[in-house]
Amino acid sequence: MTQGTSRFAAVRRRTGVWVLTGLMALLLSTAGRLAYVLKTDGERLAGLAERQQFKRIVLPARRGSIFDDRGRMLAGTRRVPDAFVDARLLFNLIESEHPDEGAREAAFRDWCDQVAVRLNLPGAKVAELIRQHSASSYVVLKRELDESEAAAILNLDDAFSRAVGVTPASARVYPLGSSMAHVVGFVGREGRGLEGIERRFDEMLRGTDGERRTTCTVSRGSLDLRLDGARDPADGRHVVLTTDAEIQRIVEEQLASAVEKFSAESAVGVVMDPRTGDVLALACVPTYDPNEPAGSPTAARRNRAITDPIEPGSCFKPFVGALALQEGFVSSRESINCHHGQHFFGARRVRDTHPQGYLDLKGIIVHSSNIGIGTIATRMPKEAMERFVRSFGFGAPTGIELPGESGGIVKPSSMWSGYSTVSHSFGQELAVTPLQLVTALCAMVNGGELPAPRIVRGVLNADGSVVEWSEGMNVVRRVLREDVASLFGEEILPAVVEDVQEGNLKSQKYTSLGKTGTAQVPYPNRPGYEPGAYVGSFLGAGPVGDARLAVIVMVRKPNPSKGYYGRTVAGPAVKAILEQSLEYLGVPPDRESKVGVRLTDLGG
Amino acid sequence: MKTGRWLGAMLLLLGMGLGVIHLRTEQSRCAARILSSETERLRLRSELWAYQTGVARLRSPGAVRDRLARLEAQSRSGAGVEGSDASPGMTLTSR
Repeated sequence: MTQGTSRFAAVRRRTGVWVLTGLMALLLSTAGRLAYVLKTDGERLAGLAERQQFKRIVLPARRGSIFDDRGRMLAGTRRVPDAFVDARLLFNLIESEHPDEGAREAAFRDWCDQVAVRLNLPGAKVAELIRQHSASSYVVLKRELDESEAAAILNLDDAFSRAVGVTPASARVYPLGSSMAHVVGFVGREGRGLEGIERRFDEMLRGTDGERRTTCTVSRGSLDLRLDGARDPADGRHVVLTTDAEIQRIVEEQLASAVEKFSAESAVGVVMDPRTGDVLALACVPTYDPNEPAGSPTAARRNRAITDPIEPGSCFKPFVGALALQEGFVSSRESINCHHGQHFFGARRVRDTHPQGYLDLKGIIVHSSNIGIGTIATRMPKEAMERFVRSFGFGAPTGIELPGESGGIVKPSSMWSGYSTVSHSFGQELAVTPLQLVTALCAMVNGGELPAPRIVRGVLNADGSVVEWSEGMNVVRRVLREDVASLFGEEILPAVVEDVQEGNLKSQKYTSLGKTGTAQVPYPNRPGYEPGAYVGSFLGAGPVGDARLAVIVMVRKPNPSKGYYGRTVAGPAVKAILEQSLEYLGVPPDRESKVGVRLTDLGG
Repeated sequence: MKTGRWLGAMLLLLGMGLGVIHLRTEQSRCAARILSSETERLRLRSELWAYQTGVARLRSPGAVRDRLARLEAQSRSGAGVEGSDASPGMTLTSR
C-alpha cells in the first residue's frame, strides 16, 4: 500500500515536472516570438492595430478671412459637400452581384447613369472618372454640391449605394467675385494660397485641424471617446486690408469703361491715400473670378500694377523737374528755349507735340515739353539724375505686401549713353510700375515725404483680438523740400488739369492736379517700339492743397484711331475716380464752396 | 453558515460587476453625447460660415448697387417696391 502510494506520488511529480517544463518552454517560445515580432515588425503591426481599433475624427479648422478696411469680407470659408465614390468597393460589389462580364458592364453603366442624373453630370463622365481611378477608394465625382444634389446622393438606395457618399469639404468663397481679385488672390484645391494676399499670408491664414480619437466597432461605429491625443482645431488668423471695396468698384468700373471705349488691350488703376501710403484700390482689367480661377487665362491673373514695369513717358517729367529745382539746376522763373517743337541733343532729334518758344518750369510741365525738360536734364551729371530717379523709389520694389512685385528697371548711370540723361527726363530708357509712380506722386502732394505703400492694415486672431495693426505713414525718406512739393502740388500740377484743352478733366466739385503721359510700347524681344502701340496714362490727385487721394490709370494699347493720348484715354477715368471716391469718403467739395463764396460776395 | 458566506461573497462580486458595467455604460453614453455635441458644433460652425459668406455677398458694393438700382427702377415706375433679398417679405411704398 505504502509502495503503491509512493510510486503514484513519483509519477505525479514526474508528470508535474514535464507539464511545468512544457509550459515554461511554451511561455519562453511565445516571449521569444513576441520579442522577435516587436523588433522586426512591431511598428507596422502597432499601426495596423491602431487603425483597426481606433477611429480618427478630424475637426476642421477654418482658414482665416480677408476683410477690407470697412470690414467687408473679401474671402471667406464655408463647408460644402463633395460627392465621392469608393471605386474599389463598387467594382467588388458589382463583381459579386454579376458573375457574367457583359452583365457587369451593363450594371456599371446603369449605376453611373443613375448617379450622374443626381449630380447633374453626364453619365459618360462619371463612368470615365471611376474607370480612371478604379483602384482608388476615394474618387471625387463632384465638388461643392448644392443641397438637392447632396440629398439625392444620400437617398440613393440600391445594391451598390454603399460605394457612394457625401463628405463635407472646405471651400474658399470670394463674395465680391472678380472685384479685387488681383489683390486677394485665390487658393488651390488643397487649400494653399496661390496668388495675392492668399499666397503672401498663407501661413497665417491657414489654421490647424483638430482631432478626436474613438475606439470603434467592427463596422467602424464609435464606441468610446479617447482623451489622449485629443486636439481642438485652431482657426487661421484674419487679414484686414487697407483697400475699400466701394472705391475698388469705382476704379474697376472706370477701367472697364476705358478699355471698352478705346478698344484697349488692358488697363491698370491704383488709388492711394497720400497722407498714409494706404492703397485704397488696386485694379487690373481684364480681371478674373477667384471663385473659378481655372476658367481664366494666366495673363488675366497677373497683377500688372506691381509686376509689369513700363516706360512712364511724360508722367515722369514732374519728378525730374522738382528735383532739378530743388538741387538748383533750374529756377522756377527761368525761361527755357523749347525751340518751337524740334531740337537736337547731340545727334538725337527730340520733338514736342505742341511746339512752344520760351517756357518756364511750370510751362514745360503744363505743355509737357520734351525739349524743355531735356534741356534742364543736360545740366545734370548723369550720376545726379540716377540718384534723383532712385530717391523717388524707382528701380527698387516698394515692399508692398503682395507677391511678385517688380522693382522696375533703372540702369546704373555707368551704363548710360550720352543721351540717357535727356531720355530719362521724359520717361524713356527706364521702366517703372504703376504703383511706384503713384507712390512718388504721393510724396509730391503730401509735403515731400515718400511713403511706403501699405495694403495690409492688420492681422487679427480668430477671436478678433489684434495681432498686428498699422496706421499712419511709414516714411521711407523725405525726397522734396516742403516749398518745392507745395509749388508742384499746389501750383504747377493743378495747372495741368486746368489747362488741358482736349477733354474736360476739371471736376465740377473738386480741385485736382495731375500729369498726362503717353509712352510707346517697346517690342518684347528686340529693341525698338511697336508701331501704333501706346500706353496712355494719367497721374492725378485731389483736392489741391489737402490731397486725400492719389490716382494712376494706365491704358495699354488702345486703338489709335479712337485715341491714345493719356489725357484722352486715362484722364476722364481719373477724373471720375477722384470725383466719385472723394464724394464717397465724405470730403466736402472745394470747387463748389469757392463758387459759393463768390456768389455770397456778389450778393453782399 | 458556509453556504451563506459563499452566497454573500457571490452577491458582493455580482454587485461589483454590475456597478462596473453601469459605470462603463455611463461613460460610453457620455462619450457618445460629447461626440454628438462635437458633430452638432461642427454642423453649426459650417452653417455659420455659410451665413457669413452669404451676408458678405449681400454686403458687396456690386450687390448693394444692384438692389438700389432695382429699388429705384421700381419706385420710378410708381409700383410698390418689393423688399430686397436682405429683408424678404418687406414691402416699401415709394413716395
